[in-house]
Amino acid sequence: MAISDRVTVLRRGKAVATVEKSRTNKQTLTRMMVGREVLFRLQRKPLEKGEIVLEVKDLHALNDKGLPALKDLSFSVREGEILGVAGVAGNGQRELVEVITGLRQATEGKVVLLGEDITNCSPGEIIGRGVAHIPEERIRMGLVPGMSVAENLILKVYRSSPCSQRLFLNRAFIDQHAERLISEYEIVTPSKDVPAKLLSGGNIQKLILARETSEEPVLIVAAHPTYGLDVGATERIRQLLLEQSERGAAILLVSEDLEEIMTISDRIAVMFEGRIAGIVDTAEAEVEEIGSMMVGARKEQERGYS
Amino acid sequence: MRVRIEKRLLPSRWMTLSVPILSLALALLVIAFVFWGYGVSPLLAYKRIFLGAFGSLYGLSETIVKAIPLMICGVGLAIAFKALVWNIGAEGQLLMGAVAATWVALYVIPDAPAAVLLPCMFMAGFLGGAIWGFIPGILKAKLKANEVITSLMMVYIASELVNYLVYGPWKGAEEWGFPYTSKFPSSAQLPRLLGTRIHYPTLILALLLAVLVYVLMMRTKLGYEIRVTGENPEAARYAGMSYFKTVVLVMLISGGLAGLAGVGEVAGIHYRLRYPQGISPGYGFTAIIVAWLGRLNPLAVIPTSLLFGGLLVGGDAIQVALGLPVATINIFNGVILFFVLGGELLTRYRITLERREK
Repeated sequence: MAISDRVTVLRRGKAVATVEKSRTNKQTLTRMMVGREVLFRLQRKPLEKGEIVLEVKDLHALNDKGLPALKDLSFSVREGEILGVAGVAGNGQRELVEVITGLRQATEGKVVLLGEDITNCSPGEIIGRGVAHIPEERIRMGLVPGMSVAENLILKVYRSSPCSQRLFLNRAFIDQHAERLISEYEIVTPSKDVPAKLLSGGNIQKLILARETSEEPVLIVAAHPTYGLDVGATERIRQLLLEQSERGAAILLVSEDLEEIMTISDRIAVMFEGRIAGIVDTAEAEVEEIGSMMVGARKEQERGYS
Repeated sequence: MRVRIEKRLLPSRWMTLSVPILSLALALLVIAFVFWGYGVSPLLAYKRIFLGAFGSLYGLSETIVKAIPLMICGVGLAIAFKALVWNIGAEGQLLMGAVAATWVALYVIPDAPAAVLLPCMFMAGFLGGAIWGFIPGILKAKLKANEVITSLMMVYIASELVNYLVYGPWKGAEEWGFPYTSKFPSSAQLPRLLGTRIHYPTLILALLLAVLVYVLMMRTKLGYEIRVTGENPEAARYAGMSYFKTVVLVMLISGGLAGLAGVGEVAGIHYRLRYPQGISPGYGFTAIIVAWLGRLNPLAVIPTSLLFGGLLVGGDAIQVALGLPVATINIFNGVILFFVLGGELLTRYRITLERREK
């Protein structure tokens, strides 16, 4: 909008419209790109908050260079709640996600899931307890690019029946499972057998979300889930996360996109230098307040209910 | 100018298909220079190699004889390499399989009928090779010891063990100082295809194994885990797969398969245990190239093992006919491996030249 004279909108390979810039606005363009109204502030039903699902107590961990990345971190997330973790990248968010999902050792402190201590459990065990992880690095971590879409979709369920019996994988199940998820989550792909690397970024993310959320996890850890995605995919991913929280999953959302955090989280925790600078209710939060916590200008006691 | 190497996000598809063909072609080109350097016409040399290997019934049968251990080892190595576990010790695992089979045939149940003895020999051979593969495997899984080094070193240990046995406690009483054990009882000798040296039970086993391993890789949970681990170890970890279990299992299986190849050699060709080079002229090492040229697909190992069997036979032929040194075929193998691996590198990594700004 800043420098063009005219704007052409392409959708699914077809030109939808060409308009003079002066005769259009962001809202209209977005509608043309996606084909329906996009709500930038998505409707959020105020929900009864349930039991505490995830509790992190006094967590300490080191980063790859051996320096402290998490210092004395404590917070909790309830059933049906979305806790957004805001902060400038590099303040420990990545390490936090890795500790919770079992990919990094905690040096001190505890991670408790539904009352059970899962600190330093293996990723396999944590997955087995119903934790879903939508990784920051989609392709590097969340996907096996050379394998087919169908084979990627079973990455979480391949161990158990009905996907496999004893030694063998059940091909029929894998095919059905893939077709079902492709249609439910609207993954755009020429077929379930093409290599996953051929999908667009947004569809790869939908694949990952489909895989991670279709088994009704109790906790979803989503790291930068809409990073680099177009408007339509972004909206769809956020909607999927909301649906999961309505189902009762607890969601920990790490994002650098403050607008995203404010749009869908119930509470916002700000991380600064490995600590929680403060936790606020989204409804009462001011962008300036959050911003100043992000740069470490203020430290606050936890507000809202714990 | 600076050379920068960065991992490709998505492996190049075109190169994935043409790597085996191009690398063979380039190797042929380079070797042609070697022949030319010896004053031999490359075309003549290639013709002799081809005719020696495939041009006569004898040549063809010998090609198959050499293809059998290459196929079995190659299939085993395809599994390990697919998981990015670099089993360089197949040669040692093969020898240990031969040792185990010899032990059963001469010292454990030498009087058993063939129907009992032969299967026992194969099982023992599998175990012997599996244990030999297990050691570098567990060292890698538990201590992160580099399996290239450990498995390779184990080859020398196996080789010396065989030497010790055939010169020492197992030396055949009738063999007057030769480094052989006694000949196996006839119930420990595999039948051959009329007039040739093709020990067909092992050939059938080799073909069966190629198919079975293919099914393992594509249709089982373990195969799925091996493929994910090899293609994206980060994703494998993220998905909760146990790297430890995968590493140990692939080393057990690929070691065991190499062991089976060893059984085939002592029970099918030599009917005894001999000094190591007499059992295997480097089959375990050549199988590395056989596996790679087949792009780690067990079914493709069938043709590539025949190709390399042919090269070994053809190499013998030109040695005699053209007076070229034995090393020529080793050079050939090395050059092919170089180009195959180089091609693999190029499919996974992008190499760019950067100008340094002044």
